[in-house]
Amino acid sequence: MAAAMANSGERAVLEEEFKWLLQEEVHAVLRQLQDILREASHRFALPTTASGGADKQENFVLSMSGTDQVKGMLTLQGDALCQADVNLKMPKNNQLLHFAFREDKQWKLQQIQDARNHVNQAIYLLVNRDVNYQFKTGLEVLKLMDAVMLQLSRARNRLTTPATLTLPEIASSGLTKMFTPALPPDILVNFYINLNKLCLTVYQLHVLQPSTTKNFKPAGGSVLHNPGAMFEFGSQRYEVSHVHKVECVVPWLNDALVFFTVSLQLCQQLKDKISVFSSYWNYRPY
Amino acid sequence: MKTSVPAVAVWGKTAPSHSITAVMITDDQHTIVTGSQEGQICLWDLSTDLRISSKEILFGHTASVTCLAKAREFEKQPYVVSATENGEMCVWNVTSGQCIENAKLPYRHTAIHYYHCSFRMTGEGWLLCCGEYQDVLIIDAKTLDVLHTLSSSQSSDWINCMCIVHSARIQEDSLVAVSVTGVLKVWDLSSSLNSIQERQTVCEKESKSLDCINCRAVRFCTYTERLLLVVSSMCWQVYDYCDFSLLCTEFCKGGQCFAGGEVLAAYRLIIWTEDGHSYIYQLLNRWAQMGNSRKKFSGLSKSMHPADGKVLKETVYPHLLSFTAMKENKSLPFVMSFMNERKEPFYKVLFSGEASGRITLWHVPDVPVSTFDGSPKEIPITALWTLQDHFDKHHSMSEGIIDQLCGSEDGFGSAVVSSSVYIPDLDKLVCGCENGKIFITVGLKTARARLLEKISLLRDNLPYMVLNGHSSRVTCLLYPHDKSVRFDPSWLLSGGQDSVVICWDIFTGDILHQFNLQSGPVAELLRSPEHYRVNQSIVCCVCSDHSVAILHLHKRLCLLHARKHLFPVKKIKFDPLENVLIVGCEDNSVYIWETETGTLERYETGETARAILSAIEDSEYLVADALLPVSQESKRSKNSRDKHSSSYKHGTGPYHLAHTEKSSDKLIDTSCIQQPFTILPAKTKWTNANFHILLFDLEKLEELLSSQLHVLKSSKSFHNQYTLERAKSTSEKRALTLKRNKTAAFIPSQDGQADTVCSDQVHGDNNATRPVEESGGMKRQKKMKSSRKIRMQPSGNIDVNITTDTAKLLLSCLLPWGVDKEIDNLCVRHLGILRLQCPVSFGLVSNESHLSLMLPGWKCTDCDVLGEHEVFNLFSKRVLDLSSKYLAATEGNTGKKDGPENDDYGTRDLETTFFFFSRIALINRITKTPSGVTDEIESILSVYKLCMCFSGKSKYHSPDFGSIPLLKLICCWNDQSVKIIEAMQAVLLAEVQRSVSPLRKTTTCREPLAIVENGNGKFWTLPKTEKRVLQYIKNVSVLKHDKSSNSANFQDVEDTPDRCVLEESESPGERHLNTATKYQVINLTQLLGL
Repeated sequence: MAAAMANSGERAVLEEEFKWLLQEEVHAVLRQLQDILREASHRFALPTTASGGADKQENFVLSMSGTDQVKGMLTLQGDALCQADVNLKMPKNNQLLHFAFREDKQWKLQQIQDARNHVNQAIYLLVNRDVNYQFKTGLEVLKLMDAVMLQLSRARNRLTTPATLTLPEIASSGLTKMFTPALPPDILVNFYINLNKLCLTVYQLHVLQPSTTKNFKPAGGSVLHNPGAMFEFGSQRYEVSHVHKVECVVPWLNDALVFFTVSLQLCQQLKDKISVFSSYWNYRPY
Repeated sequence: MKTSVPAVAVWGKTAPSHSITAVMITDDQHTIVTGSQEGQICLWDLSTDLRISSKEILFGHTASVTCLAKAREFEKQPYVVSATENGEMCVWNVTSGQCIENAKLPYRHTAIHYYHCSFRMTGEGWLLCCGEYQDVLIIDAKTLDVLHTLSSSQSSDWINCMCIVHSARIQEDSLVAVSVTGVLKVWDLSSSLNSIQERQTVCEKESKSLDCINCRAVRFCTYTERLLLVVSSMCWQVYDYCDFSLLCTEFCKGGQCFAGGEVLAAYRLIIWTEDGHSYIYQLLNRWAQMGNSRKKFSGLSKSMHPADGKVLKETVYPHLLSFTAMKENKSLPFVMSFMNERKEPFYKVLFSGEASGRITLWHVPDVPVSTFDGSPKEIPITALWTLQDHFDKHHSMSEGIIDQLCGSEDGFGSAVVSSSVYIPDLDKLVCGCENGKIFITVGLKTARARLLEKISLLRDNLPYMVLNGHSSRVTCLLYPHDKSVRFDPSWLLSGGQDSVVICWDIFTGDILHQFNLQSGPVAELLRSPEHYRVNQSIVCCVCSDHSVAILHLHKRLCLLHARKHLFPVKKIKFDPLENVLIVGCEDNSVYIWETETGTLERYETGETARAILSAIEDSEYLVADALLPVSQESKRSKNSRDKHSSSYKHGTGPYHLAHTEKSSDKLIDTSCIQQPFTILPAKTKWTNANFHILLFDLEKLEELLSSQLHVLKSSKSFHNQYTLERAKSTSEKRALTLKRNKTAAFIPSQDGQADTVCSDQVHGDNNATRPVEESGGMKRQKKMKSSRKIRMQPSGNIDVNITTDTAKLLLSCLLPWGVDKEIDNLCVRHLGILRLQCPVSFGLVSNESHLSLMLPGWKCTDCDVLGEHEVFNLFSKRVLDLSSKYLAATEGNTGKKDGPENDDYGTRDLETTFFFFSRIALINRITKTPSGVTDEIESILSVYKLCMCFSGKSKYHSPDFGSIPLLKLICCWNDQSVKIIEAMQAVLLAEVQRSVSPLRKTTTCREPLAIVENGNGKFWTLPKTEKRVLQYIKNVSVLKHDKSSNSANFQDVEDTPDRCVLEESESPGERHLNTATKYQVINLTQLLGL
């Protein structure tokens, strides 16, 4: 930078500015960051330990416009799906199937739990750097920002990147055992979060006869499998015949994602500001 | 399998930054282990009087270390496991600094506990891990495979902290854990061993929600076997383990945050905070005084005040006894830990590591007391240390690689090297400095001038060039030609803090062109990959304002400067045919630029961006945040076994942590070394200062040396060849073999290890038969005389210099200096092995990506103890002992070694060097695997090879003079976890002493050394398994050999039983090896039968 050419007067001014940055500006940014993250954390409605049952429940209707082949009524409580009703109209005979969660069961949405935990970790990193804490080097700020950004980008990634599962993994997950009446063996369901949306996929399967001439090729892991994907489960071979995906926007997830993005940018800006002065780190007056 | 590569670190004035994120003390209280945010592990020596000195730094991780834990029963194997942010796990041997096992799992651990139940568990035990995933994972301590999970039936969440409860009273090992939401869970361990091994679901026995969020530590009091300490950031609490009723709570004061705690003794606790304070409390316990009625009482109080802790709080209340404090220089966060040892000579030690890299140690008295007036008493700091302290203390060791140049250049003093690049083809080292100067020097000569003493001549004549162009720090350098021929070999690029990229002519030092970018310091210069479609001399330049400039070197043109990126650039793809520049940023967004107009065409985030990024995955420039930047092309993932949950299913809905995070999966790529000598510039994260690692390829050097030897002799007759061999080898049998094969084609030494070991075997046989050997020796001397005349011929090979200089440099670095002044002088005068200027930081690269380097100040205190001489560069005291053992063990061979007796030989020097080298290389080969099973098999394999040699007819030539005792000894050292470098140094010292001794007027050295040996009969021990094979092979070989060797073999076989008896007593861990060995034996029989 021009800093190299600066004469001693300019240098003194810049050093003064860097001091200001460390003592004032950093704290201002951290304050702001903390506020945003707390706001984000509230969205996740951390179940307070004392009043466990007091979490508010939200209902979501998952459906696709135009068709009523699959319809889901889901109740979300914090990070858990506490109720789920799935209506499925079989394409062949227009028979209507209905499944619901058993009363005693809840399905934990791991993505939400992880995102919530990551945000709280980020907040915890910031908590003990309040106004009283004096940053002495720019490096210290960079390290802190790196740690915070790591947690934040993980929180965001957790929501934006649903797990890629193979069909046998879906079939063997506990989810299939949670319904009453029990899911027929030719139906698989999966819940996940994709960005700000709560998604439900229903796979209809048909059994591949051993005599079939079809080339059996097991499908790999994927967020959403396509019709025709094949897999083997419990010594039986299946092929996906129909895939139904319905989704519904969860407003507070959207908020949370916006908060994540904003705070990540804030962190990066602070890092950039610090690095502008990187040539002064060695001349640190204190 | 690659052998390890010896390395010598040349540090700069500043220590590599080490922001401590994890700290532990080993069970023997000799070593402090710290892990850093930069990803290195540091080993610190803790003396018995509690002084700290830095010992070794271990490279291998590519991300911040999250936790450390012991990975074996420490008395048996000094292993420590480390885990990082990106899921890497490594098991290290903390005495040798070697990486034993590594893996990459899709889990991030924040705490690991080692659990081993000796009588009911097979294998090496478990690592119980918790972290950023639900519940607890069980990982095999040996293989690092995920074995199983401890799952929760309700409110499963991440686990924050845990402890293993082992109590004689309860008769059950349990794991107590507290989740992030403050739910305390207890899993049975010992009673669920079977179900875990059978992979049945193991759920918690107990689950109780505590009133604490952000729990930091949970500890069970083993003294009362009753109390449970739970430390959360806001308060600490004591619970009754029987019914989990709250006994007392203490909130933290003054804006502090508690960070952890430990039980000191019955009713005595130590709690520490995030900012480095600690407090020792005495629990004043009314109920304890009541003895047995306590239980009744607590039950009573509970019934009186159900679900209320208030009354109980009055029953037990804490009293602050003493405290420790940090006054100045705080840098958050402190990572603290406590080591509680009741046995002498161990201490109760509280220790902390800081982000600044400082370690602080408090010796907590056995019975802490408050001052007389009842106010708490401060416990003073016992020891305080940082890496930098040693760098300051040992100036000479921490001198930068080109400091001597800068000094002579101007009175300004030394400039810190801020970036550097080594060009192997030209042997040029280019160093960019803090002050904007760029130095170009010759690599090997610079290294010699830096390390060796009395080379002021060399130093003054050191050719170098200074390029003046940058006005401030040179941030990056690139020599594009070395990986891609389309660049002109004279081009050297440098980027500076002043946002200028200069293209230099490396030979003349002229500025060819200067690009002024005006966008902050240049962060990185990247050359396009080789398989790039367009054959243009294009270089990518990333600036610290996250802009990307495309520079066309030939046209001297900046094609495009893309400046809108908000986040650091991670990936770049430039395609002039498609007319696009695709830039992927750290936040997973993608910018697509049109190159012609320079406009931003598209900006994508989310799924689309991910798709685009994955499409350009391995085709383009990757901005590496690598630790050691040389390795940008290396694919480390190949080495570390990526273990995904394919073999293992996580309890509730398996998920892969498929985050596309910035992972710099690159460390060191030793495969890129073509030359026997390489300088690897290295840099840790955060620091500007570079340090350099000199790498020596032993195998290659040995090969080169031997081929040079042969070049020297090649013009000569068979007879000459023969005598040379005679000179080197020594035994009667060798002679026979040589005679037999005299007319066979010349087989160069690189022919393989088989030969090597073959000759060892020969030696071993002869060793046992003294008379035969002596007559052999006699004959040899006669032959020597005849060969002398021919050897006098001068060698006119210039190439020799580089190789020998390199070899001698390494030998200089390996030798301990000052053990015996006379030997030192003889070495310098006759062998051309020059004295070191100061002790060196020796290191080893193993597994291709793991590097251990000694730090300045290792063992420096107890090195200058030997007599009145000042000894330096002695790796450990043990070396002297080892070397004398070695001398004694190979005593039989002494007389017949190639004598450097004849001072005037032109080649003698080279030959001796080569001899030393082959020894070192042999040791390196033998000990290349960490001790244990692999080793055993390795040696058996080599024996097998040897045996193949025997049965095979050819192969007379072998460069090695190893012997069976040597093999045995090294194997034995291996078991005693002697470091490779220690072994190398010991052997080298012994060999030097031996070969130099004829040169001295008086022989003084060997007697005292031999005495040391007498007291110890143990070193003869050899792993029994191997011996059996050896014996077997000998028996077999007997059948195949002529009479003379026959007798020798029989003698040796008779010898063995004695040693077996000696062996019997030790080797506890070997029994399980037998199966493997048997298998080998069978193999051998089959093969031999052919």
